[in-house]
Amino acid sequence: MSNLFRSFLSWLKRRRPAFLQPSLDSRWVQQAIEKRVASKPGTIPDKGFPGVRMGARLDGNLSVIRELAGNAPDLVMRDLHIGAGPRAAVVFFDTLGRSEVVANQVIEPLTYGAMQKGLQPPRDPARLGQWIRTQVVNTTRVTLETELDNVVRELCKGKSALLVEGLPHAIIIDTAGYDSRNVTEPIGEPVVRGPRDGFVDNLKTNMSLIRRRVGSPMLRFEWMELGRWTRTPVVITYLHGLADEKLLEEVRRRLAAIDVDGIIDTSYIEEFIEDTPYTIFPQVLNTERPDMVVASLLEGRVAILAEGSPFALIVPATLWAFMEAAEDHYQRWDGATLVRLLRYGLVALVVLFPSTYVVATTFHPEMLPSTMLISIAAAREAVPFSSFTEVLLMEITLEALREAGVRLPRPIGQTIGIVGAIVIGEAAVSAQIVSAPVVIIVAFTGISSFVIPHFNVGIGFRIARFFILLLAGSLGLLGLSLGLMLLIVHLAALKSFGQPYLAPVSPLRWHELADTVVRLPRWIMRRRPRATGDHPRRDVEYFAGPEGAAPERGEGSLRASPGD
Amino acid sequence: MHPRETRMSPVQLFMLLVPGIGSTAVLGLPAVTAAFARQDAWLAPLAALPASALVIWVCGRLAARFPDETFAEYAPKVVGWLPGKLCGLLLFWYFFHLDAAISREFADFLIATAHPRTPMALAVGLAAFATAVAVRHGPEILGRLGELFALPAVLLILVIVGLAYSSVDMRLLEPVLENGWRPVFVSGFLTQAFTGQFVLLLVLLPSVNGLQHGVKASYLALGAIAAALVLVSAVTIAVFGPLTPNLLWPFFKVSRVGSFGTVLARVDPLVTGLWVAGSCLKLSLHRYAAVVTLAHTVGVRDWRRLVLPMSGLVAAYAVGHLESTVEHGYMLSYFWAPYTQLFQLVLPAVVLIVAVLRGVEAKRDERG
Repeated sequence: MSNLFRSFLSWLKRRRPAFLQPSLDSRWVQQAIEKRVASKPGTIPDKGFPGVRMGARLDGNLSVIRELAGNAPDLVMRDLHIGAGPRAAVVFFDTLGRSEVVANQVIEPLTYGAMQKGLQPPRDPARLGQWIRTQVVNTTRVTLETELDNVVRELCKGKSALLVEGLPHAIIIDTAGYDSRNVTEPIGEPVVRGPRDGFVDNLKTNMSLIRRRVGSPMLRFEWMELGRWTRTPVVITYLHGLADEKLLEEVRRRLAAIDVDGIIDTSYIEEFIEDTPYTIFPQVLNTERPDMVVASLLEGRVAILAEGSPFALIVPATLWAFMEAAEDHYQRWDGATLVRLLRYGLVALVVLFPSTYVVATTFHPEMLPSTMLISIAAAREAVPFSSFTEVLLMEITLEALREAGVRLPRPIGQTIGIVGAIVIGEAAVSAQIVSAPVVIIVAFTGISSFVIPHFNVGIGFRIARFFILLLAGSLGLLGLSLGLMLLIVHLAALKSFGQPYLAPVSPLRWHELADTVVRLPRWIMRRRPRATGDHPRRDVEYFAGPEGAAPERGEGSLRASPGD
Repeated sequence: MHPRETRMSPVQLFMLLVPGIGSTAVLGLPAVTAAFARQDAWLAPLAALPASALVIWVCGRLAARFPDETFAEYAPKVVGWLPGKLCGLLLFWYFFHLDAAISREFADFLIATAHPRTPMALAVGLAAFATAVAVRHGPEILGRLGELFALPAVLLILVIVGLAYSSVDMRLLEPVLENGWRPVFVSGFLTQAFTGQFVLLLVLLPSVNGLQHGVKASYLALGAIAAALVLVSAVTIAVFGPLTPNLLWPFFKVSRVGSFGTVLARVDPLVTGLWVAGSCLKLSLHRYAAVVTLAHTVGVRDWRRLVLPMSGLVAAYAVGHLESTVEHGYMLSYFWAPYTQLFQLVLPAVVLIVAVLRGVEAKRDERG
């Protein structure tokens, strides 16, 4: 019954005439807002002031905005007269908007320019707003906002609000602009050959880096705000027609469900949208390379960008995607394939080498050739620890050195190298606390872990290494195999946005294998990988040529030139 | 989740069945068959082919009548409620017993070859836990594991054969058919205990995309397993000759013959390691079959809940039901083959015959 009554009330509320709706003209409304700012400010980011409209009286509007911003030192309220007519005020944060833009594009045409050209502001308030938007103000993006919430939100994004006496709206003028880092080469993912621009911390710039690589209007940006307090702009980008609709629905659903105080970086988003939070393997790819994002979009994937983060998220991601460097696609296919095979071999070593050493020396010395066995035995002769303890100690030391090296300022960082090389490597061996083979093995796994292109999946493999090392040290070969088995079962069962983590190797999809462990020539990859649903076929001929005739490959034929 | 709701491709089924059935057979079979057929033991898998193909055919016909159901679900419709439930329990018992037997063989092998001081309960229990984790993910993940394991398994056999090549003496295979076909058929009957494990299809086929392709993939898997067994038996006999029946895991001994020279003196620990993974796949496949059959017999909706307790039971039974490795070998040679035939061939065949005679099949609208 009360539900019915409440819905009836809300129906009434929606149907009431404009003069009954709360507006800033009313003294009561102003006082209510001031009271709420003073007593319960925590409710404002969540709830705002629903239904409160801007008033027609300039002073009321200004005082409420000033109250909301807490007399902020960077809030500019510039009074002016439009031509010789009504009073007005431009409001903006000069830390977000550019003062010179406001002065030149808004204030000057409204005051001096209008006088100069002899423009007469119309008396009728409705036509006045229209006149300002279409004939006077010089910037490109101008909109009208009526609700207080929207006006405040636009102000906080760096836009300017033009409030005019007698006009119950705010004219929102886009004057946003602030200093940001220049587009530079991505630090985390450098290439020898390939595009050199990387994302910056500014969303608009990042969007432009993507847009300028995709000529098709089918490139879509979907805009949303996340974070109750930060209201961080987040953009979903995809190619309409390539990205699977079900995948997109899922991305939108997962993003919309995020309810936090703030999004500082896209990694905050990543943790919320993962399929399996309890795993050591990342399921969302991140990159600071716009070319990588565009390549992923072309494969039907979806990217997520956020203001203030130079890292784009790409979903769905497979294990093979994490093991890909951008360089693989810019070098010739044979070299890239060789590098990839090497990379996978080294990753297998990262996970298995220390534990295999422990198993071989402790449980199965018969595996080793006798000369190697003798030299290892000689090296281990005076060492007091079991080889498991040795390896574990050295692994922990290696991780400590790595972490210390990352955090230290660069000038001191070298010290760590010296300490690591001399104290740990040389002194520990000659003091016969650890044996030389262990130092070699641990150092080798350390180097190998650096070939993993994506840092976060490398962490996963490093954790797996300790897990398998413990199993191997306690259960020997059985532990090693069971650990590996559990790892593979886990990987096979993982999913990223519905996509199996090990696809296309398992489940097997023949035509997608060309870009996984190997990278075959580009003209072999005739089909797009399927992100979720069906198999889209890429009906594109890479070489210009007459219809029907298969282009000659190799031979360097002239037909391969795009000119004919 | 019902098996029909997960979709496995016929290729996945093929790659699941090859290591999932072949892994234990490859290791121990030559000793068993060579006891009867001597140097002709490599013909035994060929002699077992027709009966194994019959198993697949029976499972395929039953699945064609009830494409969306497992054996335990349609048996009561075919032979009546109580006998049907009994049939389901019998099939469950077969899977359960086989799973325990595989666990036992796994542990025996591991203890004999790699870890003499590891308690059997620990080896069996750990394997049971690891496979339970895999089984809980469902048949789809098992199929993916099959895809990952099939190629390394085949490669491993080829590597062992290649490394032992210098010790192979083809003359040990002569004279061919010294005592006629009879011993070959006897050992073929023993081989059938392994290749007849295609009765798994009673549970697996509802999960496969496209029944006809699934059955075809099973025939192909049978062919691949038979080929592997022929190769393995022939190489084993060509290396060890008349010694073969006295060895416990003769093909494993073959892997001890070869080495990678100065890099790896012996490959057999490697073989043990990879074989642990292979038999884990086989264990989980039969565990899955046992759990699903039991769940559908007693009417438990979510079979996943039974996985962990069932794994515990399997481990306990595996440790307790035999005194020693010797007993296990004796059981495999004299008791196992006729015993398993009851479940692999007789049980489904009886149900199929009754279904044909009574004309029972799933309603058209149920087939969807």
